[in-house]
Amino acid sequence: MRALPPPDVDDTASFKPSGRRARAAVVVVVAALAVMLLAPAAAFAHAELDTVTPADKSTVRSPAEIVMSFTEPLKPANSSIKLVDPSGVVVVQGSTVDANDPKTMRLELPTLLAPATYTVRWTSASALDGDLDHGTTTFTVAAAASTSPSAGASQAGPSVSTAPSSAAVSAAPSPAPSAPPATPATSTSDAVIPVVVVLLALAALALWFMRGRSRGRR
Amino acid sequence: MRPDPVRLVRIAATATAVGSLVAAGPAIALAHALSNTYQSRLPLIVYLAGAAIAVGLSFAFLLIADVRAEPPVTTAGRVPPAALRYLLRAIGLIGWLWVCAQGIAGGSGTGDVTTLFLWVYGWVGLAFLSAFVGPVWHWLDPFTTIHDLGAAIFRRFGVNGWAIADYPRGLGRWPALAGLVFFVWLELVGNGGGPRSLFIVLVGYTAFTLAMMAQFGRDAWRANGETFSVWFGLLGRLAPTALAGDPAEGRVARRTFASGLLLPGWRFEDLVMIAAGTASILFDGLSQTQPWFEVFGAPGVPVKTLQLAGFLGLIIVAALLVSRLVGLPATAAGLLPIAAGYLVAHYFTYLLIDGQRIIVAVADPFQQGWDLGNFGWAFYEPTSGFLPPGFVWTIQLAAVVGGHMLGAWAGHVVSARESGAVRGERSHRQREVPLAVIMVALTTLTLWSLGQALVVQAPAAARGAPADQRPSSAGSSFMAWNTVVRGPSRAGAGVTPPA
Repeated sequence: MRALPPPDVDDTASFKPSGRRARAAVVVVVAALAVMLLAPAAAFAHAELDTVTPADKSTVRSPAEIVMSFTEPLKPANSSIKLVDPSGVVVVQGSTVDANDPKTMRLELPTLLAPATYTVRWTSASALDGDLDHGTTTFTVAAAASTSPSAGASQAGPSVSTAPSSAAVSAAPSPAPSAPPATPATSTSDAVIPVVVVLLALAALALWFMRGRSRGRR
Repeated sequence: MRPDPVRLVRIAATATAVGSLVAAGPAIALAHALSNTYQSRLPLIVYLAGAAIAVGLSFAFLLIADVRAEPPVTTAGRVPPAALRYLLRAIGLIGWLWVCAQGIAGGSGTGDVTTLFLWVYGWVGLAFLSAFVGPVWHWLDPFTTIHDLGAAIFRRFGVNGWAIADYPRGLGRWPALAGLVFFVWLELVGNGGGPRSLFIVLVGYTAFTLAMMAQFGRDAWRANGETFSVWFGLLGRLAPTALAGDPAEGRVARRTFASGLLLPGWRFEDLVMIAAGTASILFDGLSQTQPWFEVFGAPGVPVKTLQLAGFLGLIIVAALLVSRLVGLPATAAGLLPIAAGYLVAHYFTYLLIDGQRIIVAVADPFQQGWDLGNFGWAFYEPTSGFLPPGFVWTIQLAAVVGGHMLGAWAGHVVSARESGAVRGERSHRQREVPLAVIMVALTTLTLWSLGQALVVQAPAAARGAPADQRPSSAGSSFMAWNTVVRGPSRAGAGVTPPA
């Protein structure tokens, strides 16, 4: 038996002063220890979207501002809100993180919005560790029946706790355990496909192989 | 002294049994650098069929008397066009620089290129390319490019490096193997530090590699000591294109897929490396399954390290035992395609899904909250909707069974050539039985792990979720084979299950 590869810290044989191999093993172990020390440093903390006004998927009159509150204080330099119209053009961007409440970020809308469905793209950087999070919400501006939209607009959609439609499935503290098999692919026929395909491929290979051999004999 | 074949078979069988027991015994934990984001379990019927096919194939190759094949004829080959060579070198260097810039000045988020380039595109993507396309790493390799650039600059200023020493023969490929074990550990166990510590590892590894290249010569170190060159080079034995002649000249020749397995030149360390690589993939797959979790829970780094070392050691010892009975070249040629097949089966969804995060990285290259061009790319979420389960299962089964078949074929051919066996000689075929046994055992284990419910709990632990808030079993009824276990993936990028 040759020596097992490191890390095999307890293998006293590897500490024989004899070989380069032993030295290499020591180097590896030291490197591994160094990385272990680095390892426990990480803590992912996203500033996730808590509430948004106008609420996600709501229909409102043209709002005066977009207000978003997050689960963690924000780092203003890297956090932003962008309002995007249906054609993908950014209408308004930039944002202000509330000095008194750093978990809240708002975007003033200087002009009235034409009736359409708008997308709000938010980017949050946690003030705790700078970790970025992204997401989008939407709201629809209804055709204005009233001439004073700014008055009641921002109240039109009361702050509603939203499940952020972002990548942050992580909003759930623990992974959803047994999601029901909602996929239509549970049928047996679907499971049989791979088997049939692989068997057919094998059969084709075998045929090809045998043809090659019989030709070789000729 | 020729050992009695029956006894050898018994030893191999015992080793396999002990291996399975240990595998079923105490082992590993959760957070992986490569955590599968696609959780669609291989249906029972698929993996049973796969196991049956594997067993059948193994015996078919034992029974077929004269599977003969010759190693590929080495042709002179051609140097690839300069444009392609420089493009590959540029991509490698840009990737390296990007990771460094991100590591030094970047923020953190799902578009972090450190994980994306080193694990997704590097560890997995380049392994695929090396095994199925050709020696792309020969030019992509940023360490070599940096070395060459540095050497050119020094030469221009008339600075001479120290004299190149002869590479010590006794060192063999052990440095590359040590590096592989380290990176496997980093990926499976020691990844708690996230991208930042990965970046520090990259810088350290670059410095070490450059120093060794200066000491022993670039090509000698690449051939023996540089982990990625050696590992991708081993996988490259499968590829339909390969370096021909002196690697320094960079000539590439075409050959039949997998025919490189029949070439001589297997080293002892190669076999250990192949066994370690196979074991690490298996370990990754197994340790994410619900049954494994129920037995071992989620231990800390030291315990996990011991579990990984134990598992790697076990598979390596089993492979070495088999190689004593069957011969080193036959064992290596038999196990390498298996490793490649497992790589595909376990990681191709990971590459296709997590690899999409390059879109986020392009829009926000240093994770500053930008969205360059305002295309909304920074808000992109990786999707798996384009991967129907039936397709995924087909690829997984084809990869595992295909790898097994190639391995059985190559092991048989090489073993026959090595022993100079006469066609259909009985004793020769008996000698191959241990190889067939270990291959069937590994393949069955892989298929089984692909059929289990996965436990995904990536950054949740780091987020402070109590350890007992673990996902419960994801539907153990046979009807729920396709249960999709959803959880936060490593970087917080959830993936939409196939609708």
